[in-house]
Amino acid sequence: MFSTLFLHRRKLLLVFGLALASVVASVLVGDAKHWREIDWLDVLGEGGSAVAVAIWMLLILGSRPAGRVTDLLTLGLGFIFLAMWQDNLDEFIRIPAEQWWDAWLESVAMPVGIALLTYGLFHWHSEQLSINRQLAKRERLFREHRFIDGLTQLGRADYLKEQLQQHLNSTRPMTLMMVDINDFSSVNRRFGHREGDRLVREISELLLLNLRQSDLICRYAGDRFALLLPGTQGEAALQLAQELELAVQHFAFKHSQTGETLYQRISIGLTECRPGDQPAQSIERVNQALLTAQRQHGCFLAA
Amino acid sequence: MTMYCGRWYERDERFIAAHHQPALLIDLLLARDISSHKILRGSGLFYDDILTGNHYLSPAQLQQLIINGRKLLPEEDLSFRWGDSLWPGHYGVFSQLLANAPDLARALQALVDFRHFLSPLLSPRIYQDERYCYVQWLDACGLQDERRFMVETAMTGLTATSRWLAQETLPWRYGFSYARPAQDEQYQVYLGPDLHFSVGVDVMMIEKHWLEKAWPRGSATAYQVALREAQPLIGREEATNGFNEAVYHYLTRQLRTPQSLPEVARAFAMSPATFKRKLQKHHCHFQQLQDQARLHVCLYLFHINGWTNEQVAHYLNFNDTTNFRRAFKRWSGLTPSDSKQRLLFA
Repeated sequence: MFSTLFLHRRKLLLVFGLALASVVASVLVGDAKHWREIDWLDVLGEGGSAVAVAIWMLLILGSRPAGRVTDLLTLGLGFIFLAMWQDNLDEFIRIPAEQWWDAWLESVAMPVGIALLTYGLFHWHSEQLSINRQLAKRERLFREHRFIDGLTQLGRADYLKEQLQQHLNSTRPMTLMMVDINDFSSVNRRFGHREGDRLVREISELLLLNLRQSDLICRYAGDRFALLLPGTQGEAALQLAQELELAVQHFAFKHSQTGETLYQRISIGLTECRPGDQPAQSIERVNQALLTAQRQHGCFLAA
Repeated sequence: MTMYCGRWYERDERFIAAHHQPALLIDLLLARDISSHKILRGSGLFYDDILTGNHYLSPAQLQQLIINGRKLLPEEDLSFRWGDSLWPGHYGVFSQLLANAPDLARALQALVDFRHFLSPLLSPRIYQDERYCYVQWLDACGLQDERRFMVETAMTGLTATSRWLAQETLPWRYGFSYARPAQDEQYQVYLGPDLHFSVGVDVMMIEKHWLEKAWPRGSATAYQVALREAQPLIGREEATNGFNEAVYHYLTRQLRTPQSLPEVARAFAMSPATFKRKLQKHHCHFQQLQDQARLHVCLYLFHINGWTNEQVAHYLNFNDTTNFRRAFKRWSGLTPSDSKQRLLFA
């Protein structure tokens, strides 16, 4: 978060600099209210909202790369923050009516901030749609960040079960595929876990490239991936499995230090999901199919 | 009364070489870009100590590393990944012994004989009946919440090592003392499909004809040479049982005459107060160890000797089988017949 915040240091300096300047200016031109004149409920309500808006701004900046949408969101929230801040200062300091900038900050900054935030959110929406298109094969219709695997950034087994459940409720035919790297344990043994991790990550990217837009890939566990192929059955699914097998077979993974090429093979188990299945049943069946596939070193479609 | 005549090691004895199994665990975490001071926090270790190659850890310190690792990588596969490359490993003569084992029987023998070097937290024991060989995994010195983690590590370790040395996947079957975890995917991928939970004991079993099948990577000569080198290293004085394990074994041997805490303390040449303090230090209660010992002996008599409820009840000096059944249910949470069913892996 802090490294991302650093990208936006100029914007942050501007907003908090203005907030500080307004404090200094108010103290210089106004006079302090008496302790008993202060309405503490107002201070709590307005001051609290100003702090909350500042936190939103920091969270947004801390989670986004620089860009137009980020600028708009920050400026919008920044103006809203300034307006609330100034409003709150009035509780403590009486500012003479001829100081035009005080009223200006309160009543103009707020609508400007809201307009900028609205415009920014509109663009954020378009941006999100294009990101969703990029993510389509990794997540479908449902997002839950707790289900994301840290190594491959794919959904984990929990996510697979969630998706399977949703698909099993519809009547569309669907195939579930389990892909496992042959003898992966010996890659870890011979070349170490760093290379093993990198291999899993690169194979996951490779599988992703070879899928259709409608398919979903998850990391089941270890070196095993689960693929969900909606609207696909029998021969078509086997065809896809063979394509994946060929793709991995021709993938020349390079050892990061020696540059040596390590070729891998995969085994694939497939099963058709039937309406009325529980996710656990489909998964059990496809894991069984994978065991047969591993014995035969190839693909196996369970009946 | 029989005295306990073995020696044992305790949680705070430093004998685990830091650059062996602990270093492997640390490397797995470093590979995921976790800083070394986070990994070692609370363990009293410095990364530079490990690099010296002559620093030793206590079981408690290794356990702290595991606790840290679980917190830092909560994705639940650390134990399996550690187990996957735990053995034969690079632990000098003990690794040579495992790596050259000419068959499963001798690999298991090495694992058991040198267990306090090769598996200091979770201790393997071998049993056989006419058909099966059983490898039971016992808490050596007070694992508590990390027990499941170590069971996952050790079982993955034996599975992966036997697959690597035999150059084929052996048809192991697995029994676990605990209930099926909500996420059992790692178990399927790293161990296999033959998983049985809530059976009262952590055990792996395999048909006996696999014990003698020659392994392509093995060498009987190299194994003998390594064995001759390794034996003096454990010596006669070396402790090979953890404290919990030692008490457990004493209790299993004295099971027919129920032992009180002061009696067992005397057998361990301690005052009852000292004995109690030691049990506490190792996170266990006398009653809990006794129940576990009784449960495991019952399971042994049922499954390996093929005894009936009546025979076992009689052997353990129960007056009638109803009482026995009730007691068994308290130890294991299952009735004897349910338990038999589950352990048959039916």
